[in-house]
Amino acid sequence: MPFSERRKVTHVTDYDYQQPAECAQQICILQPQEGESMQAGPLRKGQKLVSHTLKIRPNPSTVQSNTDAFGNVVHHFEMNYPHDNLEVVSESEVEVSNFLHTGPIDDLISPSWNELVDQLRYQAGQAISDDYQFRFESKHVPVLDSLRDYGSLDFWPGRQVVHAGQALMQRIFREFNYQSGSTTIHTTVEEVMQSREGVCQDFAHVMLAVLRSLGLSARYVSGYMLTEPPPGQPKLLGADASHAWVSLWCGPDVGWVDFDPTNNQLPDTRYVTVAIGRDYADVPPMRGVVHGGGEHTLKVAVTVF
Amino acid sequence: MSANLNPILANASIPWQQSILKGTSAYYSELAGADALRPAWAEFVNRLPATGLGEYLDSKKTALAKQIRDNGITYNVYADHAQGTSRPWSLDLLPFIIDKADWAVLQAGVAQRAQLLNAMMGDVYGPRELLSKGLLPADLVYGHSGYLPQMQDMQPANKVWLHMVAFDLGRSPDGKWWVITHRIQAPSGLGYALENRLSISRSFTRNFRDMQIQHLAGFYRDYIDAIRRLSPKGDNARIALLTPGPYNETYFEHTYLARYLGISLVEGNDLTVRNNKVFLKTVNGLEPIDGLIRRTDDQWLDPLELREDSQLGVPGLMQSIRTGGVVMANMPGAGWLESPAIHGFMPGLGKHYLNEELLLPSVPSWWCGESPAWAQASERLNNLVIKSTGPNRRGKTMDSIMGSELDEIEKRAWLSKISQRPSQYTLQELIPLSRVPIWNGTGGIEERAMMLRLFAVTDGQGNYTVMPGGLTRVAGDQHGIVSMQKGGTSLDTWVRSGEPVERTTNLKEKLQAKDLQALRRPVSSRAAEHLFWLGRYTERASFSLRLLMRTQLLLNEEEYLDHTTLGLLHELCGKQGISDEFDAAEPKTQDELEANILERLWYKTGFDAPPAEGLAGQLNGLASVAGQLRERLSSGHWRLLNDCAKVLIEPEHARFQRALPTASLEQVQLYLLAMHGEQSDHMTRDNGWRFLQLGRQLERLCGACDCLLSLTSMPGRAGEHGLALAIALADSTITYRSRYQHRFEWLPTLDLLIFDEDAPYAIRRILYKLDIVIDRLPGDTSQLRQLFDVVYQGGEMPEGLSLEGLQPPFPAETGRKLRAWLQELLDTAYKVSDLVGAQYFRLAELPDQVIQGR
Repeated sequence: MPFSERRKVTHVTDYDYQQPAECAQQICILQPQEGESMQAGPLRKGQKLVSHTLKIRPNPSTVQSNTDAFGNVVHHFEMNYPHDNLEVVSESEVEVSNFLHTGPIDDLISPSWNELVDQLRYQAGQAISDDYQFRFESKHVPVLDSLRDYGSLDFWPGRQVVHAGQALMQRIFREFNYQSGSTTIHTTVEEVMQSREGVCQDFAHVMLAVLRSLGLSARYVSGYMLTEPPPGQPKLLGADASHAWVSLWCGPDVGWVDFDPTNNQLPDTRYVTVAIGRDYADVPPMRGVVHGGGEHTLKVAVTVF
Repeated sequence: MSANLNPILANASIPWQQSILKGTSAYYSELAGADALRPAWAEFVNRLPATGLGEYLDSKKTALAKQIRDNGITYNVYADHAQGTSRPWSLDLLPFIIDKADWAVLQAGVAQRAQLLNAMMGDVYGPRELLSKGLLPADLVYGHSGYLPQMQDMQPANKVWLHMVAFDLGRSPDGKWWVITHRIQAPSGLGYALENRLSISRSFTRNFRDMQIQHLAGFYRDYIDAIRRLSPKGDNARIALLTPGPYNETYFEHTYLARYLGISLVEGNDLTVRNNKVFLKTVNGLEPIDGLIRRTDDQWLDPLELREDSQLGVPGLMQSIRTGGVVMANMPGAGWLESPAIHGFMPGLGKHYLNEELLLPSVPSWWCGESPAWAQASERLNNLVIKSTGPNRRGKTMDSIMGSELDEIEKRAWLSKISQRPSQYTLQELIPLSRVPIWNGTGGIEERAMMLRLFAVTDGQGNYTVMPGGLTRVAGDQHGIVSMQKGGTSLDTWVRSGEPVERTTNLKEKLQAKDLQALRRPVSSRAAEHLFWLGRYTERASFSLRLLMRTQLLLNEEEYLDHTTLGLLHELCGKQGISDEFDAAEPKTQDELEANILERLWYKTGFDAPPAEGLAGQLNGLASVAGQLRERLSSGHWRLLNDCAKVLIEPEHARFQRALPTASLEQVQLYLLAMHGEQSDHMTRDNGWRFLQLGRQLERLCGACDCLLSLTSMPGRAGEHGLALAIALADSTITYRSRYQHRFEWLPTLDLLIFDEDAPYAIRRILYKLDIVIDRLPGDTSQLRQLFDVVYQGGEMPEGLSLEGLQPPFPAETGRKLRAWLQELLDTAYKVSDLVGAQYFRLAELPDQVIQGR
């Protein structure tokens, strides 16, 4: 019986507009995914959504939700009247279960990565599963020879895909500096490869770009991670943040395996997954277009228990 | 040689004549078979006058070119208006004629393919059988930037994803037709095809009728009817054409098509989404839009869900489509169907979705990502064309490379490049295109390679109707490739019915009285704003011109102008931006002022030229406003506005010119006079016109007040020269002279400038006009009315400001009162302008910004 834990997440987003916004269209992806795609794998945590509420102030004119092509729950809402601030509070409760494989990770046997690459290639009449769709370039993830070469130091022919993935994660963790504020959402993978610094989204994009340049299928995961306060101090509310990591397709037997290059570990019960996509652009927590509004200030507070 | 060939071929230099005679050809000739003209051509030629045929066709061709220029039919090669690169659409005189039997094959094949592609759209955003059954590689769906995951599970009305599609076809030497390109996202050509038809059917009226050529109008009607039927509002649905705007290369076509279909032409920021429904921002408030024919590419449609830097889209549009708030023609997400690689898989897809063989084959294509295909095709690169499978990450698609044009080294380089990333490349058979005759305009015909673009439109129930005609495009020279961007030309496309044709026009039946009101186009906030500025700029430029002409007269006639007059002149020029600002502490000399005005006069072109000022700037403003209003202006008016600024383009010898150029100014004057005529007499007096009128009268008021304020600001300015100048600026010199035949005096001048309600530039007349136009503005005008009434006072002058009161000598107090009144009028004019902007244009003006949480 795998070990499981309850996690509670509060994610507060607060916009203040200098001038009233005439109207606004907003999208948020804040409700943790559930269902089949979130079942635990040999090396991947599973999760079940216990509850989720979304509070929007002031009252939106319309709200709908739908499930997107990657299984994420997307909320759309509109404000059709002048307003000068917007607050969105997302509260989730999730049951997170641990890996099905209980021994040391190295004991699990996975297929060689280059065999997987061959399987992912098209052969007439052979079925293509949804798992193949994360193999291509996307907005923030380029496919480049230089990235393939970077990866080939860990990906030698015949090496087991999980081992190679782990080695790549370690190398990114080692070679790149975590520096908050060093990048923006417009910073490219090429630039991060140069500067060797960034935040969790950048490391996830770099790792995805290397994996896809090698021909593998790998996806972006957004979510949260439980942080421990410094010893002897109480945990501060709102001090956490959204987090991002990578999931790699390791063949039908092992399935998807998550890697967190920012923290050099395989996400376990401390992690809550919200959404998956090709890269950040598919799953921003909140995104909107405001008509008017002037300058705005944004406050985000995340607390994970 | 058959007798039928003679009339055309006799005086033509024809390099291909030999191959016709020998009956061997590297290409299919649309004109002639082995030893005779093809039947359609023989018939066409026989119906033309037998003698003087060359001259006859030459004169038709000249007339055609003139007509195209006059109608303002253009094709923008580069998206830049200021540089004047929108150039005339190219259309050749001779039509391309398709016989009944050929047409049957094309029609059935095109309709079938449209149906197939629509089925593929429904599958890829639904069950994805084409992937789970391995019918198409993941690379051509997930790996193609035209696949939009945002479209997943969308449910368009009646499962119609593609409302109108187009295909480019070519004919191989054996006479067989092949589909070469799918044009699915927002196909262009419908407007040009129509314009071509109107031009060429007029050139050959008898041939057109007697050869039983099918009409096009029914197809356009079917298109708009199908979209209406797919909307829950049915016949009452309001449809608009969404254009990326005047900088798009086919903008002319958008305006043309919108007008022909009788629908509004809108840009992204004319629209707004409220409660998941689409609305047009008009001067009457928000008006619902139920269907959009869009010419904007997918990625730009919605900054919220697609490209966030898009200024061309509508935030929330995708969600509106998702929730059925609007019929979108075509649905986004079809870009992957345009990949050349897909042609290799079409036969299998046809079997899967329709259980049919394809009636029209695709050009043989090999997607290099499939190893056996790549291995096979790489052997014969010589006969193939290299294309990119899809656009790269930056949205660019590489130009096709002809294998036959590569030398050995280049060929090896390409082979190695492709084998690095095979999935990014597709190889296609090079089809030697058939050749059509074009009339070269100097008495002869030439043959050119051609491609045929055909259009199919949904009937809303799962089937497609093919337009009996199309857009035939031909290469620019004997060997060139077919592309309108690279100097090709186009032909009208005639389809023979073989029976008497039904004549349809675009109107389905006779309009009823109740239809008329509904068919009036609403005035969008953006159009109203541009019309308002059209009015202001027209007035302002006219004022500047009169000032310049008067200045020129004064500076030329008087060798030494007195300081007072010079100061007045300078002050007025400064206010209009014609010269530097007047500074009483550092007055310019007469020569300095003239040099200063000259320096600012010209519109300087070229890279990093400063923005035009003064008159040139105002004329430039007119041209750019005209660019935004194309669909609302007569072609004559539009041309006036466009061409006027060109008069002041700096000539090469400008540096050596010492005096203001009379000829240029007079030319500008004629243009402006014609614009005034158009605006006061020729435009429909709808709400849009009222904003134009408001702009004109407000600007006129500003000019009159500015002039009088300068005239009265210093003692002595209202002398002979000053009064003459003021009269000239009010365009009243002739009236003054005919009435008073006298030297310029204060009181009669004041009468013409303020009191005379028959004088078009008199302030009381301007106020009277403003009063009327404010009354007729749409919506709630109470705030404007309140603001305006403070100065208008029911048309009464303030106490003491009467002709009697202003007859010299009058107390200084009266002078101060006059100036205070003028200043108040000027301030009110500015306030009215701001209020109009806030009330009617603001919806269009406020910027959209994308904001992101984290």
